[in-house]
Amino acid sequence: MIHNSIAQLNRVFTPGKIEFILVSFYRALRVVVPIATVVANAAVPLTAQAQPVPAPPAPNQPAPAQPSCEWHIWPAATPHTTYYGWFHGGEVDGNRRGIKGYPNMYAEALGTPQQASLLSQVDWQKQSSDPNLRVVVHLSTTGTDDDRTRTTRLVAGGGACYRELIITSLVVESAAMSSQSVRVMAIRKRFDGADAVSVNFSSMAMANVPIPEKTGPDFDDRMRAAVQGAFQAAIVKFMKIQNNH
Amino acid sequence: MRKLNTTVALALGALATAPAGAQTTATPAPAPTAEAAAPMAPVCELHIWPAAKVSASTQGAGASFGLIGVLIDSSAHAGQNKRDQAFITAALDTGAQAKALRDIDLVALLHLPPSTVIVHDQGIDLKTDDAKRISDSTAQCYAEFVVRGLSYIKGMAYKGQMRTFLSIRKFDGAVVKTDFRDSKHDNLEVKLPKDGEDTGPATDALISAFKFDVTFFADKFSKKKA
Repeated sequence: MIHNSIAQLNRVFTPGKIEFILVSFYRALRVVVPIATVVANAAVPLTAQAQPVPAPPAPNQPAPAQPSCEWHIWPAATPHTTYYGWFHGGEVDGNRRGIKGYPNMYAEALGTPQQASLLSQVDWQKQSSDPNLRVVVHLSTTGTDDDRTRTTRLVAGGGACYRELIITSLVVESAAMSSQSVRVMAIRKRFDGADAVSVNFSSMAMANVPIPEKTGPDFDDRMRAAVQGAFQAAIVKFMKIQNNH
Repeated sequence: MRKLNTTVALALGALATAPAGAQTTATPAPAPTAEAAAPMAPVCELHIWPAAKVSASTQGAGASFGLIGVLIDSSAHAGQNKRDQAFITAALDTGAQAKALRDIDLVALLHLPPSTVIVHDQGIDLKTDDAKRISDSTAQCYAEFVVRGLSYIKGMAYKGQMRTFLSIRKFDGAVVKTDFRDSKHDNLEVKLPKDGEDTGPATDALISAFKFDVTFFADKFSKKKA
């Protein structure tokens, strides 16, 4: 009788149904948690929420003329995918290994050639506020494994103001309780002066992938475009971050 | 399966000259086609596979309150866990693992005969009962070093820990002569970075922990064998 009951339970609670229940529970949490946050914030004194007052703008003075800079930009190698699901404990590149149930994250839209193409579409002059900026997007990776510790320029010559932006890694990531996103790990190397030692900054930036409507035959194309858009958004975020370092 | 050739120098992209304000794309120079005559390669091969599983878990107070608590805690840390998993994957990718293993001279640590090291660029799930070689190599003297997984755990009461799951299999022809699997953890002295923070210190800490774990594993393997 016990065996019959267990067999019946197994028939009723299949892995798919258990996952459905867990996902439903998680969705319910996503509704409850923001409400709880709003209630908690309401209890915080108003003084604690006060925002700092921005400093008054500086007098309108003409900026001294600066020599234009030269940026060299390298894409990353093949992107990784990571997934942490209910029944997948931290898989890496499961799509390439044919792991059952591993989601398609459309990482092939970010191969090295595609990255180079997308990087060449970024408005670097706007990102650096330098209309005379000279940018060279390289088609392949730097090919070195010591970009962070390297103290010399990778490309000889160039002006006194020389910068390198090296995308060291690219990850398309997803988890059962978090949205899909593109994460960029990059190094900015700044050489101010012909013989100057580089000023390094390595960090990461992330942008969510806006999942399009799952209708229509062109869903795959729209999904790839969304992944590529998230990559460019993450790059722009990184540029803003590195401006402060 | 693709392999990373660690000996061929990569040609740097040629710099295209362009006027100020222009945005250009540099074309890589052709790779060198001829190589100088190399000394005879060792007959033994050591194949290395990087981690196929990387997990990251930060636990808060909710983890102490049963299944519901764990679910709430997982939900609260979902974004952080996703970020940490991606960061560890990137910081210890195939290239970084290969460099770390070169630095500590894995062949010598494992007391293997002089071997040609072949680093595969994709992780692999090593089945417990599979006695066949993972690669299609036919070398008589052959060994496999598999990083089975990397696991990062951080609780409320302790600093982050990274555990490395490793295995070494030595073959004599088609027969497995030695199969040793173990794991080792190391405490990290730095926190894993958030978006926008400097990733350098945490990258160094992860690589250092990885080297420590591999060295400990190799020592244990060598003592067991002796």
